[in-house]
Order: sequence, then C-alpha cells, then structure tokens
Amino acid sequence: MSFKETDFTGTIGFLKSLLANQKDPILFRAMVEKLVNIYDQLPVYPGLVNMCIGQAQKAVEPKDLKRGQKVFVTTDTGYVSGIVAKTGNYLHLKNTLVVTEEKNTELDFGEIKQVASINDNVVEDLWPSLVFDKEQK
Amino acid sequence: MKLNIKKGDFYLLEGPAKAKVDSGLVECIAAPVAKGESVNVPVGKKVPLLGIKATNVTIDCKDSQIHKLEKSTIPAEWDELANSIIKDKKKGQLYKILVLGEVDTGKTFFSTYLANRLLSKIGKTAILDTDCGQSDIGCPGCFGMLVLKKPEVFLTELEPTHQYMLGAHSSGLHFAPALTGLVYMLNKAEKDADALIIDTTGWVQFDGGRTIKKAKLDIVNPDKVVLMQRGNELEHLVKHLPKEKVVRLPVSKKASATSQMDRKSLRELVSRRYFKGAKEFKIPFKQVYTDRCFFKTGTRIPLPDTLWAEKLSGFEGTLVITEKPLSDSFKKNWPKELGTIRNFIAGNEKGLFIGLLNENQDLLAVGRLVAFDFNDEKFIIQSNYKGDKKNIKGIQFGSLKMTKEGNEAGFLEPGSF
Repeated sequence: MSFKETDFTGTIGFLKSLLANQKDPILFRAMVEKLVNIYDQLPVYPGLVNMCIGQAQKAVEPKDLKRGQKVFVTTDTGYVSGIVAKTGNYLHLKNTLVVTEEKNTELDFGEIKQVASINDNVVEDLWPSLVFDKEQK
Repeated sequence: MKLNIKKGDFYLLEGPAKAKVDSGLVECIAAPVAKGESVNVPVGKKVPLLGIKATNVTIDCKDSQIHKLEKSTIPAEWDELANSIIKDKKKGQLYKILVLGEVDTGKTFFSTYLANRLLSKIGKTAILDTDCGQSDIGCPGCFGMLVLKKPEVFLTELEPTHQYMLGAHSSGLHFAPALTGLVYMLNKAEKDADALIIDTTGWVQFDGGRTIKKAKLDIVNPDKVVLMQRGNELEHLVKHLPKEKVVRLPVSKKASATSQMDRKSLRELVSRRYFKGAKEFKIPFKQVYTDRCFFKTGTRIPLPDTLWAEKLSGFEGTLVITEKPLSDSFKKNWPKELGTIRNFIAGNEKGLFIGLLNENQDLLAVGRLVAFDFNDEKFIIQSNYKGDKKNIKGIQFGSLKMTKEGNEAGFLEPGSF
C-alpha cells in the first residue's frame, strides 16, 4: 500500500467532495478554476493548495453583497451567476449566466453547434490490462 | 527431431520447445549446454543456440520453430563489453553495471548474457531485476536479485537470492520504497557478489522516468552504464557522466514488442507460481509490526460502533475501521480532540499483496491478505511461506490486490489504512 507520496491525491479528494455536494454547475466550474489558479500560485505545495481550496467557498448574506462582487445564486428554478451591479430590494446582476433544470428539452438541429458525450469505457479501451473483474477477488 | 549443429552455426529456437544435447557443446545466451543437458524454452520466448563444437541435439518442437540464421544475432559489442569489464574489475570491489533501455529493448536478455559471460571470469555475479511490472527474477511487484551459481538461460524459473517488496508494478507513486529497495539490494550485493548487473524498468522519459533514473544513477554510482537504445532516446540520462562510463549498444532486431495484455499475462504467469498451493493461516496482530500503513502504529482507543480505532501521531487524526461508511450522527458527535477521521471500511483489504518480514525487515515470503479478523485480532493470510510462523515479525502492505490464484485484482489507494 505504502503512504501517499504526494498531497495531490487530496486534490482528487476535494474534487470528489465537490462532485458529491456541489449541485450548481456554474459554481462547480468556478471552484475548479479556483483550484487551478491556486495550484498555479503554489505548484510545489499541494497540501496548501488543498487547504486553501477547501476554504475558498463561503456563504454570503444577500444584504451583505457589494457592487462588483462575483456571486453564485441558487434559486427555486436553477442557478444564476453574475457580477453584483446594484443591491436594494432586488439583486441586480450583470454578465449573468443562468442554468435551469427542465424535465425535457427539444432542440432544433439547426441551433446545435456541437455535441459531446463521455466514453464510459475509456480505461477498458486504453488500458484493458488494468481492468479487473471485481468478482474475482 | 535430430539436429546437427556445426561449430559456429547459429540457430534461433522458438518456444515452447525443448532442446537436449546428445553430444558436443552449444551455447545458449552465453550459457554452455553440454552433453546430457537441455534447454526448455517457454511459450513466447526465443533463444539462440550457437555451436561451440559439432553438436547433435534432439529438439522437441515443430520444424517451423527452428530457424537457422546466417550469423549470430548477438552483437560483437556485447562480448567486447564483457571483456573490458573483466579487464577493469578490481579485486575486492563490487563492479556495478546499470542497464538502461525503453521497454522491449532486450535488457533482460542482455543482462543474462553478460552475467553468464562474467561468471567464469569475475566470480560471483548477480543480476538485480528492478522491473516490478515484468519481473524475471522474483514475484511481480518485487525487486529480485539472483546471485548466479552457474550460467543460466531463463532467470524466471530460479529462486531469487533476495527479494524486496515494492508492492506495485511501477515505481510511480512508490518512489521512496523503490529507492530504498535499491539501496537495500546494493547492500546485499556488496556482501554476496563481485559483479552486479542492474536491470531497470523501461520508464526513462518525462518527469517520473527522468527523476527515478537519475536517482538510481546517483545511488548506484555504476562503473558502467549500458544504454540499449534504438536512436538517442536515453542520451538525456547520461549527459553528466564521463564518456568512459557509458556504453551504447544497439537494440537487437530480434527484440520484439510485447502488448500490455501479454505483459499482464506474463506477470500473472509468474505471480501464480508464487501463490500456487498457498495455504491460509492466521498471525496475531500483536506478533508483528506493520509497515507502510497507519494501522497498528498509533494508540488504540475504545470507540463504539467501530471494529478498530486508534489515535495516530500528532495531527494525523484517528484511524477508524468500520463495517459500513460512517453515519452522519457518528461524524456529528466526533470528539474534536481526535482530529481528522481516517475511515477504512473493513473488507476492502481483501486480496491485498503483502510481504512477510523477519525482525531485520528481510522479506521471508510474499502473500495475500485475506482479511483482518477483528474478533480474534489476527491477520488472515494466504502465502507459500514454509518456515516457522513465529519468525514472521512484520507485515508490509502493498498497493496491489490479488486473487487467491495470484491473478491481478486491482489496487488499494496508498494511505488507505
């Protein structure tokens, strides 16, 4: 087994926890960007990268928001992110990105730019010698 | 079939085959094969037969497996190198040769050839196989060293003189044990041998390959570094070395590529031999020290709803072994003074590749962890260890998992328990 020779495996742990707990896809992406950004700053201190990214996300009260602040908002219908433009009775955001959850969606082929899917068998395809029959154990 | 080999004739024999010398003398990978002796060639292997005298051989294989070649495929430089080593060797000093090459460049074949050549001239010659993914000496997942008693053709069939468990098929993420193992084996060779040939992995490029190879070069400080290269793919590793230390050998055209599935099959073939007939037995927790793990290195504490709990050193937290993942209430009520929870779910240890060690941390045998038995506080182990169980003083945990037959069954993440 040995011990972990690098704290970077802790980064995978962070990503696992993000995957399990973060439902907001915009915030998910922003956190991954932040992780990469911290890594670029501290490439030889993976333990500190993990410590910092673990504390990067914080909850903010709507009344405490300030102009110019980048925020990620969860609503009843989905997720919104943007820059705080104005606060008061309403939260005014600019440069917004909105993700909504729908049961079904229809798309006209004409409006599709690109389609991607994930190969679930990529390990089997590239490294078949490292795929094990769990029943064998 | 009968084959008459004239002096100087060169044949290539493809396995599976058996060649028995009825009269005369042939040489196979620089190992003399005399009247009454035979060579067994396993499936997937090819060996050269060189007539030293006019020789009659009985060969058990199909005609298509015997190829007469116009001349030897062994480059003349190999013998020139052997002769120069014999000339350079100083009495009382271990002569160290480090063999570098990408995968499938014939490093093991060359190492065997050179060892056989040196054996009669230099004295005790050892080969250290550090390629845990394609082990020719010892069990896959281990470094194996063989101090030759006589010239040999296939090292795989021989019992290694020393083994060191790496616990993985690659030194990637096991750098520390890989380098510790190298030092361990060097110390053994200093006592046991006059010459040491170190056969290395084919990992020679990018960050990991460069790091481990440079470290090996620095640790070994070899008398000769042999580069087996097709082009200049190894030159970056020896820029710092004096010219006279580096020998460049062309890769034999007969060196053939092995697919990853064939590599796995060959690994498992060897590994199964180490587990064939392996018996299950128990070793009390209190009999042994543990190595490369947190388990049994801290202070045991009573904790409800756990199979085992121990407070680890300083800020390492607490190892908690449970039957099921921890409940939310368990985590909520976790005492702060116990630090981080390191949870391991019992059962995930099943099949883990382990080393059984003596009091000096020498590897007595490899084995497989069947389970932790927390009721009796014992390790349930499957191994071919034949000695007195009381001599087992330590258990070293690997990262590989094996089936009871010795086939590969996956991995356990380092640091899991």
